[in-house]
Amino acid sequence: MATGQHSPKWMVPTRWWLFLGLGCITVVSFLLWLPSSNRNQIAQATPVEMPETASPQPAAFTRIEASPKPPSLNLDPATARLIKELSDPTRPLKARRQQAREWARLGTEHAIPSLQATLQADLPPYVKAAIGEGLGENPHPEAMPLLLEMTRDSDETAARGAIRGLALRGDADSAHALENVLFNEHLAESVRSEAALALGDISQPAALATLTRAASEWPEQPLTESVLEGLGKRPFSETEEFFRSYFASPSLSSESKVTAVEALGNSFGQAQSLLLNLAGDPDPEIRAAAAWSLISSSDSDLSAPLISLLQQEPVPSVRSRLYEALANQDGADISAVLGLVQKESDPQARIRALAALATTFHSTPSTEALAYFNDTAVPELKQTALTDQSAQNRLSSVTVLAQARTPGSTAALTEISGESHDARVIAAAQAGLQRPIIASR
Amino acid sequence: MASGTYTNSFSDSVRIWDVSGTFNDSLQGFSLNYTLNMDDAGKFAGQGAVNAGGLVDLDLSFWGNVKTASSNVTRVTLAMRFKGTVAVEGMDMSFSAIFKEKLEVDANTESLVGTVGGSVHVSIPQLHRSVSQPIPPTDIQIPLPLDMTGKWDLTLNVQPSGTHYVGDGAVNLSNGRTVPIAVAGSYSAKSDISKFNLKSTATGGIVKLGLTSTVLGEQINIQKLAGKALGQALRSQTP
Repeated sequence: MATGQHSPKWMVPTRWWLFLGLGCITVVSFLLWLPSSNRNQIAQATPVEMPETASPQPAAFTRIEASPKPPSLNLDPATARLIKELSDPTRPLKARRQQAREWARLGTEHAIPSLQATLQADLPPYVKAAIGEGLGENPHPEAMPLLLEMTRDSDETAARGAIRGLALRGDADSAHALENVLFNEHLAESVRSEAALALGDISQPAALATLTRAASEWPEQPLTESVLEGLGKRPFSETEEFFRSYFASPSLSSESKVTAVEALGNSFGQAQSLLLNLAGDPDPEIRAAAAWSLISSSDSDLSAPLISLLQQEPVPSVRSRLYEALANQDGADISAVLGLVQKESDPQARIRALAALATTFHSTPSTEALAYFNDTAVPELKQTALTDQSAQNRLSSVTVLAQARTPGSTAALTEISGESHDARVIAAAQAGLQRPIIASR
Repeated sequence: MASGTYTNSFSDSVRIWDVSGTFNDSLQGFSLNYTLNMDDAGKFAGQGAVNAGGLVDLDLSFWGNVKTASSNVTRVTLAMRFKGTVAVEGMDMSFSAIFKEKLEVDANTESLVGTVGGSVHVSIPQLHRSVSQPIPPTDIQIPLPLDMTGKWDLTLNVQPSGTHYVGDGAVNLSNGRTVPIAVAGSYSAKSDISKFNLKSTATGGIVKLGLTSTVLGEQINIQKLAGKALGQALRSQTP
């Protein structure tokens, strides 16, 4: 799928097609589409083993699930074999889920009775959930009744998988089914909550109507958070009126409004104008939530308004969120960022400010900022990493040093790796040392 | 009436998860590493690095959160954005990709289970050419750090003052993380019920819990617990 303008120049460098293609293949295959032996490697990301931890293996692959009970059904050999494979606790759960999903997508006449039989077997909950998700992409007419049955499964994990399957179907019937689940007080809260999120993924007008109805009927209930999050996932053009009205409502609690603001973080920048306004709200919790939601907005440069907000913000926890959003922007004015860092005195906010400075090095090298970072920030961060009472501050300091990738920060990471007694700090420092120093620093 | 220090352990239905840790991966010359440092609100954000075998050096930024929507489901979302440029014969080729991992904590396997999907974009601005490719969701499973089991202890150190309580305490997670809390409460002699309100002493009120309990000897029996800790809704009620 190619887009772009046609140009006569395009005829000349045919090799660019090769680079473009190579680039796409590189990125895509790197991320996901590798040969089967390495497929989904991101998925296999493992926590770095912490040096002080005695256990030699990652826990998730050494735990053994209970042996499955044999299904009391008269199964054909292929289905029996499949159930055995899906229940095999020695296989990674991810592989079993992938297998279950792909199989549930099959729309053949044979697949449906086999699926029905399999769903009655005692499979691990997350394998059943993958079947539910796969059924959502199954074109067979019997797939929908199976999904509806699954939404009433006593296993809530499986039922949630079916809910996500309905979202993948995305048709009017699915929207209606999800509405029934959301408003069914006899169903488990986790299943109803999943229905609210799923409705956010369905581009049917009825789905939007259901969510707005739920938000107005349950302004302050446990399910409201998921309802708002579902609304936040929809195109902002559809929900802008709802959210503006919601924020203007005097009867809602600050907590509910914070939830709504954070839901807009799912809009990936579409709501940035409203969020920037909310970042100036009198309530600091709303300001902090707005700043957090702006973190996903980087298609247009927000660094200038963020810097302006930071210059006026009196509450350290709000400034921390603003710095986090700033760190995700390209092209910030490094002298302005440096000015903010130099004035920042709150310990937690300062670490985030230094993170923003370290990130800004990438796009805007600055001798003055670099000197400040190496001379002032590196010793400070090293000290925090080794001695701060807060585990979170210790770890944050190391991640900032790792991000900076200067000779000074790398030397500090080496020292921290050798001197720290905090296993997380050591692991993060060692991971940071794997990154190359950028020579110009 | 309560007086002194009490510790209650939570190990089954009411858990608190901290996904903080360093994660890395290496495959066919590509490496990806990042450190999640979950804050007291259950949020995390940061930068990492991807090295694509020397072909292109990509920046990685990520953000996400941990939320418990009901008593038995903890959802983790992790968005990752990759950006990078490679110069070839005087022209820049830009890469960008965004991925969103939608995960749940599986307490049985102590891992994050879910899917990841997104899109990749490659462009050569000078030639006004670009290619975008959606990446369909695919399964992922990420083991939690070894010391993260979701189990936690609640320590209360309370002193009576008439029919009221004052004191402090802490929420201690399985990975050693400690969130100090302030305790206030009241006692009803008629019902023999002690009610406590717990709030973290850090800014932002990150832990807000309400307890209804009885005191038997040196033990607090919690009948009801409700509130929020580290972004996660906690609810428990003894039948």
